[in-house]
Amino acid sequence: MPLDGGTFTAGPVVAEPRPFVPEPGEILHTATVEDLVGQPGTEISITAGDGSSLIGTQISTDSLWQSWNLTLTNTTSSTSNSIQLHPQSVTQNVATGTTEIVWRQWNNSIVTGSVTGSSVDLSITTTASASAGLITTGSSATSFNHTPVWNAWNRPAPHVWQQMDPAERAAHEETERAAYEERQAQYRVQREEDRAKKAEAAEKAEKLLLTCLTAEQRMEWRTRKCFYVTTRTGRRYRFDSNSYQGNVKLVNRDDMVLSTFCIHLPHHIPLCDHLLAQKLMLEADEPTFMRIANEAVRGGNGRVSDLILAAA
Amino acid sequence: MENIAGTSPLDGSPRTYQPGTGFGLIEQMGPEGDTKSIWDRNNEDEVAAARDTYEKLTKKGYRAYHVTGSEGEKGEPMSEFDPKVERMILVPPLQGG
Repeated sequence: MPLDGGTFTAGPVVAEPRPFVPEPGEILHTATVEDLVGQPGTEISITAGDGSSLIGTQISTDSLWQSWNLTLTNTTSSTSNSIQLHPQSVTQNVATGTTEIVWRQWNNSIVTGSVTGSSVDLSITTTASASAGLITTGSSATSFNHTPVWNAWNRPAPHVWQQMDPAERAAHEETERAAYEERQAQYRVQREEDRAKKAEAAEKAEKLLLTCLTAEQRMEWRTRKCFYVTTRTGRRYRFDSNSYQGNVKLVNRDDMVLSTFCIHLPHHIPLCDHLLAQKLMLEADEPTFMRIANEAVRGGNGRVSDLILAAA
Repeated sequence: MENIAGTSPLDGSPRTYQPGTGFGLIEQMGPEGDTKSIWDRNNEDEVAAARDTYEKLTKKGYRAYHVTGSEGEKGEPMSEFDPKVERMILVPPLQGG
């Protein structure tokens, strides 16, 4: 860990439960980390519990410790991790496919007496196969005091965030903005394509409808965007095109609406196809139309659907 | 009625329908407008393909109408596929709103 001369205190750590739980607020150690997980050369800042800040070289997600621990504990497939402790060396190998936790093993090794004392140089090296998704990491720490090494290393994560210089931040923002604009452009193109498809479908449906209307109905459609159908029972219906719902209306000679019928196809089908489907059914089979449709009576009249069904 | 453009039910090749020329027309409603299948009523394979389309759709609840009249202005419900019918429209199930 890039703990170059700084001091930090504990906070909560994710990853595996630890065999050692540090005392809250305990001031720990100073340490130096040279190489860490991720891309080298990116600056991060660590703010310790006492407010001190440290600058190191590491890339992690949001927490140095978290990253470190996850890397070590998530060895669930082919790995071979060795941890060297100077002046002693401790190696832990994890067999292929096991779920053994290297970190804990290493911790136990240390606790059993490998590292104690007021000052020790420590280096850690882990390697793992690429298939395990791990990369080689290494770090060293110095100047541990009386705390067992692992206890110190396993301290909860200090808050870590990545610092960007202004130029880098501007470039990042520019990239983000460009990506956003590209997504917006793609969305606009998609929307236009959808609109064009719908318009094409509507045009086809209207064409089909017109092939099934009489000359008089076509004229009504062209002038008023509706048409009238007189069924075998002599009733006159108006087919409006302003809505998918309730657009079929029983009308009297003065075109006054007596009842409204709600019957429709699935809504993704063009409106003119709805009208044609309604017309075909009403002309061919008025009782079935009445059985399916929901009727809303206007002006205190009785339900015409009841009359038609009773007569059918 | 104008000539109607559609496709063969066998290979999807473009075809034109004109009433009284020995071809049958199935117009199947769908989200992108209707799909027109134009089949040769004297070709057994095409009749079988048209029958297959008809039966698949009616099993899904589509209603078939035999459209007649010089301008197609009348529709009669069909209860089974009839290769003599020249023009039919297949309508997805209607539901009450």
